[in-house]
Amino acid sequence: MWRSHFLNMLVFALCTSILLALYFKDEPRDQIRFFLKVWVLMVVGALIVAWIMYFLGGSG
Amino acid sequence: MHRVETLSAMGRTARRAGILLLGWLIPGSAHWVLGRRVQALVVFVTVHFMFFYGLFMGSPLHRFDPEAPIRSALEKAAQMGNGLAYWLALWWVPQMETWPDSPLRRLAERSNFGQGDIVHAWAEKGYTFAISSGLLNILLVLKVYDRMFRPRPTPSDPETSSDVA
Repeated sequence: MWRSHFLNMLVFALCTSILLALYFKDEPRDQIRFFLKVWVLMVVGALIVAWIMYFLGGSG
Repeated sequence: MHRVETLSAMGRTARRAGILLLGWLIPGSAHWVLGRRVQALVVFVTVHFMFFYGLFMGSPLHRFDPEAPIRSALEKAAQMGNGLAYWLALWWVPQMETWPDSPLRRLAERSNFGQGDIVHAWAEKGYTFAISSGLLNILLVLKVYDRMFRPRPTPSDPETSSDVA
């Protein structure tokens, strides 16, 4: 088990986007493109939300 | 003639139900039966990795809790989406008490395997892994269902296709 929040987030996004690509697309080429798109969106989206929460979250 | 057709339809329905049940119990096996071998292996490895990785992070193995019936039933249902792996883990956690010196026991103790101890900082993240894998497996079984019951392709409508008769 990796004790890193960021690494675990990458692994979770990786696994989830693989399975979502298999769900939403049928052709291998489409699946790979969809997987990459979803994985990047998840990671970048999480980082953006994390920074927003960092600035809005107060001192807690 | 009519009876033969009825029996044939019943056999087809039973076969389809069997494939769906297999796909739930062993993630990826429904894809394997449909001939999608690579996808089957990817589903098998990914779902099991997510589930056991979540448990090694300290995710609880959910049982029905009468004090929170709806929440506990939904959590249990989501984890049961992992199929046989869920029951394997349910069996495995108490078994570890009988192997006091095994490396597996030490690893499990260090990672708080399946205990769901909230003071363990990673339990919440492990919970997300173990629940999501079950839900995604159910989603993939539903896709197999959709694929099996989709109408066969006709020359006039090449958009529709099906893998299973």
